[in-house]
Amino acid sequence: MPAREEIKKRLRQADYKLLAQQLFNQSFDNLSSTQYTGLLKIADIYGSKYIQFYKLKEGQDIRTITSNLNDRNYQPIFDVHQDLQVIGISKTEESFTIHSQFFTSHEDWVPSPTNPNIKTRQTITTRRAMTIRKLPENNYLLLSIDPIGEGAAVARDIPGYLDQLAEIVQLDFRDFFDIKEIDGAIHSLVTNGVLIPRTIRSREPNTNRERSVIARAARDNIRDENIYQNTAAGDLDLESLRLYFHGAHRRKETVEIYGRTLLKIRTNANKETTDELTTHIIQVL
Amino acid sequence: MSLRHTLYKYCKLNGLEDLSCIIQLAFVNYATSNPSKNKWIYLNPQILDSFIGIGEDAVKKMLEYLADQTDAVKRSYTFYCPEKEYEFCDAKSEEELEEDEIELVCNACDQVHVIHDKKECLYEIDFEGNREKIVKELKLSTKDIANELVVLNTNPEHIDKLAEMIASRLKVSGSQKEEAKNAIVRMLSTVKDISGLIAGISEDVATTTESINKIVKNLSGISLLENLFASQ
Repeated sequence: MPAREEIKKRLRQADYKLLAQQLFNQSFDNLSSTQYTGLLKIADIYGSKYIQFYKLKEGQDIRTITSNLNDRNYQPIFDVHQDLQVIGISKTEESFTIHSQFFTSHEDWVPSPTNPNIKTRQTITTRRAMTIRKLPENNYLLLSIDPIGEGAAVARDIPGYLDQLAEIVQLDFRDFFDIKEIDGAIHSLVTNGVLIPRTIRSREPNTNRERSVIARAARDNIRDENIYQNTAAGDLDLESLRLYFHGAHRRKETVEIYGRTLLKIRTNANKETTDELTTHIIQVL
Repeated sequence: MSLRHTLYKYCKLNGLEDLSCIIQLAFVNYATSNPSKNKWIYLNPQILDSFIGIGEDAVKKMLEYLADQTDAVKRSYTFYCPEKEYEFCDAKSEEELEEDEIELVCNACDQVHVIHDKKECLYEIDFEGNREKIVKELKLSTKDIANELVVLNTNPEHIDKLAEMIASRLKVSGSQKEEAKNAIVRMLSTVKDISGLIAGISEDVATTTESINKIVKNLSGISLLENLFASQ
């Protein structure tokens, strides 16, 4: 069952086993194909994601978007296809979620099933999910997309996917929402002790020299390093910043910010934990 | 058991009783002069040993014992990338290794490596210490030091280690530091009441400079220190 395999690729084992129990009161291995599809709808949003935050423009009414969207049942596609496809839309008057997907391919050396020492060059195709969510409780919209390459490269590709989406749904949400710069919000969360910086890479604007610090001990925190402080003050240009987030649950989440607008979050498929971090960020935006 | 008692117990079990005061001061000195202001600081066995002098491996064994017996010292596991060996991957605490799945967010290759046992990757064990606990629980009062001075003064090696520790806290250049240390050895051997100076190890580094300055002003014959601190 492709949905089952897709869930296993996206989520931690502990998470998908727990979700199967919570949602369907069944063990993960005994779910029906409809139940696997239901679980994949969640897995498409959580797990490892790049996220951008958008805010509704002044004077715009969210109902202009919601009244022009048509509900569509979530139906993932597992046959490889070229362009972006919309696979589900759900909406209320004040909020909406658009699920979409596409495939990427890359070449890799794959071990032979009979002898792991023998490897052959193969083309690997990977299903990627992009989800647009207007949150019901505020004026923010979250764009989440599966990780492809490194942060900066992903940020350059996103406008192309959004163009394709606008063509399909005949509506471009960028006309209604502005992208938010989140570096200041992230630095505030570091100051408040919500996030712990572990790695920072910054560039000196005058000389183009890259400066970086990596914390190599488990509980270390680099917020008292000059490089971090100069970056937070805007004297150095932020390239990337890796942070740890201690959620309500015992597990730590990893958060990375690339430049000023792109965040990479590796979250549990657990709404409480995921929403906890997103809520923190939105509160200080 | 408190960190202080655990440390004394370790010293007793391992024939290091004579050095227990020096070891205690070395930890406090390390914590108060560490440039990081974090709650948890990396404990470098090599640097600690430069003040204690029992060998790096013996310091590691002591840290292992403290990590097992107290919550002031914790192990930190430094993992190396499975794809690019010897390149730093991620660091995890002991608690994080108790999870069924251990996720290493790799600094070397930018991937997430999921392992189920630490042995699946190359790793090293480091140690981190809770700065506040180390300073609070190992801090020596001037009265404690006065009692310890009987032991300290009978062994020239102890005086040398103390001088090394105090000199490391002074804001003077490399060559001057050695000269300052030699002068401090003379000072410690001469001055009867040095408990205030040693107690200063658990304070801000500026206190050490100030204490030395005061002592130097009350003494003659330590002209080198007088010159070094003339402008401070």
